[in-house]
Amino acid sequence: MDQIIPMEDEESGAELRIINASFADPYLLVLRDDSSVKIFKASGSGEVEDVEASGLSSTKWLSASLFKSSTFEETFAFLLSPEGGLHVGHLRWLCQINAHNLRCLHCQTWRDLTT
Amino acid sequence: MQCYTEIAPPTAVSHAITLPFIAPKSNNLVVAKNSLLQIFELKSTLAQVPADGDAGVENAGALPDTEVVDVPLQRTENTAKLILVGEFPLAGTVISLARIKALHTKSKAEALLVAFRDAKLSLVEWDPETYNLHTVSIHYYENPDLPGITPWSTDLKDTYNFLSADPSSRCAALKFGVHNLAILPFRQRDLVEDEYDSDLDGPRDAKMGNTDGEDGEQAHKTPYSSSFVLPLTHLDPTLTHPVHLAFLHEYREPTFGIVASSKATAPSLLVERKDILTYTVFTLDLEQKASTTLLSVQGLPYDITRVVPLPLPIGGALLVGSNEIIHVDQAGKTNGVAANEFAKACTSFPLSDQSDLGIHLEGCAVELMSQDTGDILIVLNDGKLLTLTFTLDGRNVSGMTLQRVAADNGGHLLNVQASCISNLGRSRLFIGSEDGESVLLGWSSKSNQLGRKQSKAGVIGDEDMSLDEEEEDVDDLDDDLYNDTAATVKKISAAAAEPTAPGSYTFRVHDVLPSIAPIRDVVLHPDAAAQYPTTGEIMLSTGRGAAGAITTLNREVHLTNLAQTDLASARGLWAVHARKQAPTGVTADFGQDAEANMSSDADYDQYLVVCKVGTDGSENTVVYEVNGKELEETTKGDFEREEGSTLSVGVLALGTKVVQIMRGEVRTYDSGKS
Repeated sequence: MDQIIPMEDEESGAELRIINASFADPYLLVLRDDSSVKIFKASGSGEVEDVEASGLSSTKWLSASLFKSSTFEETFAFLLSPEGGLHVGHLRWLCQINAHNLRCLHCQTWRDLTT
Repeated sequence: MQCYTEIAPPTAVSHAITLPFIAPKSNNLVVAKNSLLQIFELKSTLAQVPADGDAGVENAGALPDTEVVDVPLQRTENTAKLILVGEFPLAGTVISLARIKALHTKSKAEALLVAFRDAKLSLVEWDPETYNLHTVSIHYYENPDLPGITPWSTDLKDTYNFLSADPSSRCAALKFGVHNLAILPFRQRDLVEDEYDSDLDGPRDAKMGNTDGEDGEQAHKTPYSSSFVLPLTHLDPTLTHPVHLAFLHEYREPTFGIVASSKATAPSLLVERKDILTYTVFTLDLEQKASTTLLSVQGLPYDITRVVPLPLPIGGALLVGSNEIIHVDQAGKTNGVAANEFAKACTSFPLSDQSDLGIHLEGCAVELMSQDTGDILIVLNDGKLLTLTFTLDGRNVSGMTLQRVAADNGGHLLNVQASCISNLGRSRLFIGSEDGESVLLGWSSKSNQLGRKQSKAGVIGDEDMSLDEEEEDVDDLDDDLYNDTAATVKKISAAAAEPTAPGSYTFRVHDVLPSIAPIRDVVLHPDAAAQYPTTGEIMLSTGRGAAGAITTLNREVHLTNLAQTDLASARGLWAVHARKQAPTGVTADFGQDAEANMSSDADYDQYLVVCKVGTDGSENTVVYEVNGKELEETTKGDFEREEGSTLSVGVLALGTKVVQIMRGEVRTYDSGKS
């Protein structure tokens, strides 16, 4: 066995249960029971590390999954918000860009997450 | 009015062509199944091939299509598979396909010109944004006022109509009606630039591509200029009965060779009309709509039905008949070979004698097989394979030899007539058939005669060797006669001046497109249970000749149960396909380590992780090892078995890490250590 990654709420430290997980090599997306999403990436050294996805961590999500296809180079994340909106983003973007911005792929515009 | 439902799409392949269609560097096979157009691309996989007794390790190096594993008993070979990109039903029946290098296509790749029955042409391109075909233009020639169409001439649908495109995409010609030719010229990139320079002052800017000189046409939007109909009798009054024509390679202007006569040929009238066919080569001047005769060969046998243009290194054209094949080079020198005993009886044209072969060339498919040696593959009407090889004297053809491909070399792989054949490059050919299955054939050569690639380290052979090597740019060899002459001559003189030895080519089937055509008879077999009248099977008798078969059509997929194991109280199960970790020291940047992934000593573990619910509600996890069809419980692996329920199990990092998602935490394991 290599690693144990506990699921904890960052602020309160309470243990969280995992609702759903989605794999898309080398990424792993985990949805916890407080509707928060965490993304992990398997790095070259063999460690599975938490990725800072500030665009996602402050929002609640009903459902999330990753999508990878041989036709596209990018891995996509599909996220369902409680208001019923479907958000689609490049996973690499989500992990790098600043907070609250998620690119809506369908209409090719930037969409502010908080509105 | 739609009063029918199609339950099985067309499967008989009528035409096939290779071109880069989806993207500029792609290699696509476009297959027309009469009214359905399918676009394929190729994907190479490694497949296990049982080695023959005599193809030992020492020979394997000479076979360019194989990647040899050290154990001589089992060979893995690069096998190409056809992957369907899209299929499109067409409004009409396809009679010809041609590839055109058109300007400003959406995909920046080449466009496809489709000719339909009833004299209609359609130029289509690939639209990468909608992932669909896009029609650029439609041209039709059913106008009764066209010159050459008289009230007593045969209907357009009853004449032999076909399309031929210039290999350099300067124009395309549709022969329709009794003797009409519709010429569709295509714009060339350098023509537009030259006009701009001479007409306008000032610097070139981004608008250059949009303006089109002084005539003010909106023609810059279309990749073609206006087409015109040319009755063949305007070129030469004796061309009243054309047989076939094709555009030739390696000419500065669009040039085509045409086999025609002034009277219809007939086997019954051989006494009077012997050898009346003439092969003439015309150069077209598209601006002036005029032509020049370059050469003319008289006295051709009555049974010549086709002109097959040949690219370098051989050049010229092949005239294919039922009893003989004649090669005419650019100077008009001819070499012929008689394939059976009727050739001598029906013609006095000088032919070399190979009538002991007794080959019937009716309905054969002819295609250039090898760009280096210029060898041609012929598929006969019973599916047997034949190669045609040339004897060169410097740059000139001095003889031709027909050779049967032996059954050991794959000569009997096909059992039906081919309707079309297309060279996909990298030693692969697609042979389509309307009577049976269509196959993707790969060939390999044992010939050591070509010196061209002998300088490559450790490699003997004449074809593309490795996966990494880029496909030969065929366009290089289509250069003008005035360019690259020196390089080409060197290539030819290094190429086999002697004909290729018989038995040097070996063929193998890589992939198959199944076919249920032609359907002769149908029997409905409803299910025995009366309350389900719409289920059951349809039995068909399909295929022709040696490909005849009985086929069953089912509405549902019928699964064959391979193995069954009871896993009591299982709540969830996941298959883990993990790979041993790369040894330390190897760069572990995950991404495109395709070679390591493909290497045959990559070790795979196969586990089945099952989460079971006990009678008291507690959950535990059991791991099974999969061996073929057997499941064996194993204690291998550090999976957390007791404490929690497993929600999901997956692999990361290209299969070297196994991740177990439990209710409260995520655990990762190295697959090698377990």
